[in-house]
Amino acid sequence: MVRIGLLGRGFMATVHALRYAEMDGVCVVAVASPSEPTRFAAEYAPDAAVYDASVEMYDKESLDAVDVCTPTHTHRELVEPALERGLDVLCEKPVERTLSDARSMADAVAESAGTFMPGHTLRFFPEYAKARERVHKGDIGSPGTARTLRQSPFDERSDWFADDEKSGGVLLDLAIHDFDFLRWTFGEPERVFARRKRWDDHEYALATLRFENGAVAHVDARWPNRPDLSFHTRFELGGEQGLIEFDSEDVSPIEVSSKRSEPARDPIDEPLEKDPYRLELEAFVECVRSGREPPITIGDGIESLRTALAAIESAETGRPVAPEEVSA
Amino acid sequence: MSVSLGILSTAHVHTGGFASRLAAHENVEFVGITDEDEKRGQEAAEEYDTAFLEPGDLLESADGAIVCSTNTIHREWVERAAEYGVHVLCEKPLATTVEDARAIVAICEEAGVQLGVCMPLPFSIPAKRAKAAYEAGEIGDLRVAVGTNRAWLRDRHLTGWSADPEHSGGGAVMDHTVHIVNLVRWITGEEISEVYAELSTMHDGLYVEDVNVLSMTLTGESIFTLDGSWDRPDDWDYWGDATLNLVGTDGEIRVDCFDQTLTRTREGEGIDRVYWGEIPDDGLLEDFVEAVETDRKPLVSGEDGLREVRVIAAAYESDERGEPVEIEY
Repeated sequence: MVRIGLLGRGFMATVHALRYAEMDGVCVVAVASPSEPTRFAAEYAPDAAVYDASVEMYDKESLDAVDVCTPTHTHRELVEPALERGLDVLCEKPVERTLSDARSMADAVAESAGTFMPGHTLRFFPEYAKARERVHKGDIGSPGTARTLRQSPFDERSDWFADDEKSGGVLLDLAIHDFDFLRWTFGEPERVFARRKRWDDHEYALATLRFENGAVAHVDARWPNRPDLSFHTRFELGGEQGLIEFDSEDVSPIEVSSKRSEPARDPIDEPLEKDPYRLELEAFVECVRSGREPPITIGDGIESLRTALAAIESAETGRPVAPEEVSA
Repeated sequence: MSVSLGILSTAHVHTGGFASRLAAHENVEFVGITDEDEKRGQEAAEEYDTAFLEPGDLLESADGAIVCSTNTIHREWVERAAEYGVHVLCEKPLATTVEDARAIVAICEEAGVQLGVCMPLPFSIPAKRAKAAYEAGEIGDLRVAVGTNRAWLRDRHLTGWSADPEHSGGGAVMDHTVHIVNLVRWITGEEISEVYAELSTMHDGLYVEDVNVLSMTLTGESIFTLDGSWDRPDDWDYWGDATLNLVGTDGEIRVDCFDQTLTRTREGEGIDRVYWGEIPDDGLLEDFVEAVETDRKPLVSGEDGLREVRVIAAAYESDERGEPVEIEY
C-alpha cells in the first residue's frame, strides 16, 4: 500500500482525492491544510487523519509520498521538509512562484532519497500527447507556428489566485500549461514577448514565443470572471508540410441533457477510460513504488517556470525577455 | 493465468489489428494464424510475425480463436472450432443468414464453447457513459432513437470482398446494420420489433446496396431509425461515424463514439482526422480473453449476434416486399 499525505483542500486536491480513492494499492492516509481540512477530508478522504500543519503530518504519519495541491507560493516551504524526510513528492504546477525558490527545491531534490514530479498534467491529456506524437513523426514537417488558447472562467475563487505575489497571475498559473506543452513539443524558447490586460476581475494575457528552431508560438491565456463562459482550449501546430488542429468546443462524444440530473461531484470528467489526472497520479505512484525517475522532472518544472517568468517580465518591461535572463 | 489464442482466416481487414493486440497481450500466448487460402495466410503470418498453422494444428493448441474470415463462411470456421472445443470470437455479422446464425449458436452450445461477436461499440467509453446515463434514468422513458453508422465506400475495397455478395452476403445492410442495432439493444435492453428498409445503390459498378436507411420500432414501441450507408465521399476527413441520439420523456442522450479527434492537414494528402480517444477494440479483446480464461459469456454473445442477423434479414425482406417486416421473439 502506497501511503499518501495530501496537502491542500482546494479544487486540485479534490480532483486528486477522488482519483486516489479509485486506485488500487494507494491510500490518502492524511490531509493537511492550515485552514482545517476536516470538512474536505470527511467528504473526499474519510479515512484520513487531519492536520493543520504539514510538518506535523510528515512526522506523525508513516507516509511514502506527499501530494502538494496548495497555492504556488507555499510549495517550497512544504516540499523541502518532505524531501528532507526522504518522502517522494508530487507537486502541482507551477513548481514555485520564483526561480530562486524553485532552484532551492531542485537542490533539495538532488540531496534527497525522495523523488519529485511536477504536475504538468497536460502531458497526460491524450489530445495533446497525440498531437506531439504526430509532430515528432513528421506530419507537419519542421515546425513553424503554434497557436494555443486556454480560457478558464471563474465565478468565485480563492484570494491567492488574484494576488500576483502568490499566484503570478494568468501567465504563471494558466499559460504555463501551454508553455510546458510547447517546450515539450517544439523544444526550448529563445525569447518571450507578452502583453497582459486586467480590468475588474478579468485577466487576459497574450504571449509570443520564439523557439530555438525558428518556430513562433502565440499563447492566449484568459481568466474571465464570467461563469457563463465555458472552459475552452484550442491549439494549432503548423509546419512547412502540414497543420494539426484541435478545439475543445468541437469535441462532444457524449452529451446528456436531463430534467433529472444533479450536478456531478467530480469537477473534471473526461470521457476516457482513465482521465489525464488519473494517469498523472498513476505515473507518480509508479515512481514511488519502483524508485524510478519520474516522466516529468524538476528540471522540466524549472524551465517551464522560467518561460512563464520571462513572459511576466516582458509584460512588465515591454521588451522581449529570454528565459535565461530570468534570475529570481 | 495465460490463454492460447489464434486467428482463423485472414480475410478480414481487422486481422492485423487483432494479430498485433494478441502478440502484445501479456496474458495471451498467440499461437498463430491459419487460413482457407494458404498463400494469403502464409503472407499474413509473415507480415504479423507469427506462425502459419494448419487449421487442425492451430485448433489443437488454442483455447480460443477469432474468426476473421469472409462473412459467408463464418459458420464453417465456427463449426471447426467448436469441434475442437475452442471458444470463438466471430467477426460481425455472425452470419449472412438466420439459418447459419442459428446453427452457429446451436453448435457452440452443444460443444460447450463460449461464442462472442466482434462488436466494439459497447467498449467505447462515450457509449458506456450513455448506457450509465440511460440506466440511471436520466432521460426517463425512451421514445425516439436515431443512429448513424456511415462509412467510406473506399474501405470496402481494402479486402477485395466486402462488397462482393458471394463473400460478404450483401452490401451496406449486411455490413453496417449490426453496430448501432447492437448499441441500442445493449443500452436500452429492448429488441427490434419491426423493420422497414429503403435501400439503393448510388455508386457505379457496385452490385450491392450502398444506401441503407432503416426505419424500425422497438419492443417498447419507441421509434428508431438507422442510416448505415457507405456514402461518405473518398475525400471525407474520417472513415465514417457511429452516433446515437436517444430521446426520452425527461431528456436526451447524444453519443458520437469517435468525436475525439485532431484535424490534420498534410501537403499533398488533404485533410483528415486523427483519433485520440480510447480504442474500443482493446476492450473487446480484453473481454474475450477474460471470457476464455473464466469460461464465461463474452459481453456480446452469439445470441446477440443471432438477433442482430435477424434484423439484417428483416431489412432485406422489407426491401423485397416494400413494406415493414415484423420480427417475432
